[in-house]
Amino acid sequence: MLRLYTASVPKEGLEEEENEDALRVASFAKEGEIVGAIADGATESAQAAKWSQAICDHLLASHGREAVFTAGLSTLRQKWQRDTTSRSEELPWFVERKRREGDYAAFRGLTIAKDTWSTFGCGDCLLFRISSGYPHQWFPGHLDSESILERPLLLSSDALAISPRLDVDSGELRLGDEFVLCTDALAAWILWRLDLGETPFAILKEALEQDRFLSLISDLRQSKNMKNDDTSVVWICPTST
Amino acid sequence: MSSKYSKEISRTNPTAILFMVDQSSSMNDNLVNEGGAPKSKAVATADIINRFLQNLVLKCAKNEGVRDYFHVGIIGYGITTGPALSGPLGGRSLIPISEIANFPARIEERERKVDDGAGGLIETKVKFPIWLDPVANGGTPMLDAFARSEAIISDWVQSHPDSFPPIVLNVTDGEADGDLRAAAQSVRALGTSDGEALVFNVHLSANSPKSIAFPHLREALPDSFAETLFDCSSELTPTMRSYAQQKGLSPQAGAKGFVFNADLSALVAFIDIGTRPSNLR
Repeated sequence: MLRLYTASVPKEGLEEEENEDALRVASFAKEGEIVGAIADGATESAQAAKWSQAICDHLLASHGREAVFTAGLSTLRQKWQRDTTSRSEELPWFVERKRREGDYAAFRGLTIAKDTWSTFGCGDCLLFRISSGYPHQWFPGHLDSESILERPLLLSSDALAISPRLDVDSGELRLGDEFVLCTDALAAWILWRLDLGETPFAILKEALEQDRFLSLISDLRQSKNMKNDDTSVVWICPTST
Repeated sequence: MSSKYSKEISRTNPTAILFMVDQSSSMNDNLVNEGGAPKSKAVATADIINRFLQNLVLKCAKNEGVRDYFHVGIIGYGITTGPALSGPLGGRSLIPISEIANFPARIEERERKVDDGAGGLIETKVKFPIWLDPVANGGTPMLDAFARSEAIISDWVQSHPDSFPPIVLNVTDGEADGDLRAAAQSVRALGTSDGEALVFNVHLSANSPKSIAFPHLREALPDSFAETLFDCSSELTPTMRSYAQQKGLSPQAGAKGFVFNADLSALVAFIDIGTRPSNLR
């Protein structure tokens, strides 16, 4: 039986509606697939939360297929421009400038089929493939506990912006595989604890199972063990193969 | 300094940035600008500060409005000393960034080249808000400006005792009219729970000697005026030093927020680096 945990908390001091992360999970029964999506809007973007949500919705509409997602980006951006641009009102100079700059987000998608899994994304939202609480791989694989703190590549809502190359991976689904999608603050903490030889996934899973995610993240922020940032996770334990 | 200057900036705990801008008559002289069009120090300073305010507004702007992470002010000193913002904000000291956003003195239209999406550039008109007009008239009452700044910062830290400490940036091309060290120290003695107020100084060059940026040694300076400004300047915070390194500079441990004989690019770097407090929430 599928087990699924999702959780998201805004930066400490902000309201729920100011959370600029987004997450989605959908099951496509006909294809026998589960698709998960997570996105982290850039703080400097005026509409970071909405752009994150738009990316996740588009990823699900693409059934988690990178080629379909990429082919549909132009249409997504055109719709974004139409929906967020008002032609009738005189906008304040800074609203006009922010809209001209566009909105940005990092994101990652995961598709789990009968015997396979695949992922694609850009930026510093990570996917960990784990079993028995230990990581086999993470994507993008070049990120570590230090480089994840650097400025990432982001997907822009601007039709003229150059899209970053998406990193794509896939593999065979093995017995016991579990998948953890998370945004950068949580990913950085996980990578750091792994560097120290600890078991962050056990701590995280326990918190999710006991509905204590907010409490865990608050404690980590208070003790300065985690950056104060919107923090989100999707944890999927697929049906055994 | 390790546990200080680390407070996160938020709407509950904003930080303050106060510019002190020399508006004496010598600011009419051209600022050294290698390879660029000549521009007076007053015009260059006003342009750079207007651009800084514009970028700060954009950084704080979200869909629902501009978040008040910063309070900003400008004190001009020349024939008179006092708040230097033009337009509806004239006469005010430290102003929330949302009001800065909504009340520029005027909006100019300037040409800018942008990517046309086909590998070329097209010229487009961009709105450029103006808050500070260039002024160059009178002497250099720098001590008076520091006294004004001290009063403003003293009020502010009482209302914001737990914020990231305020930053005071002095832009001048001349020498002070008295004991600058005591005046600067009076401002630096003010502070919040996160540390003392930061005072940074930039001296603008009238000729071409190479600028000295963010020195850590007094002995490296060419004259007593430079030494005085060095003594009046706070050290860069670790975040600012790290940011300066990302920009290709190499400030050493103990580097001061001080640039001597600045040309245009050094002035831009001074303001860019000196206004990087800590994390924005």
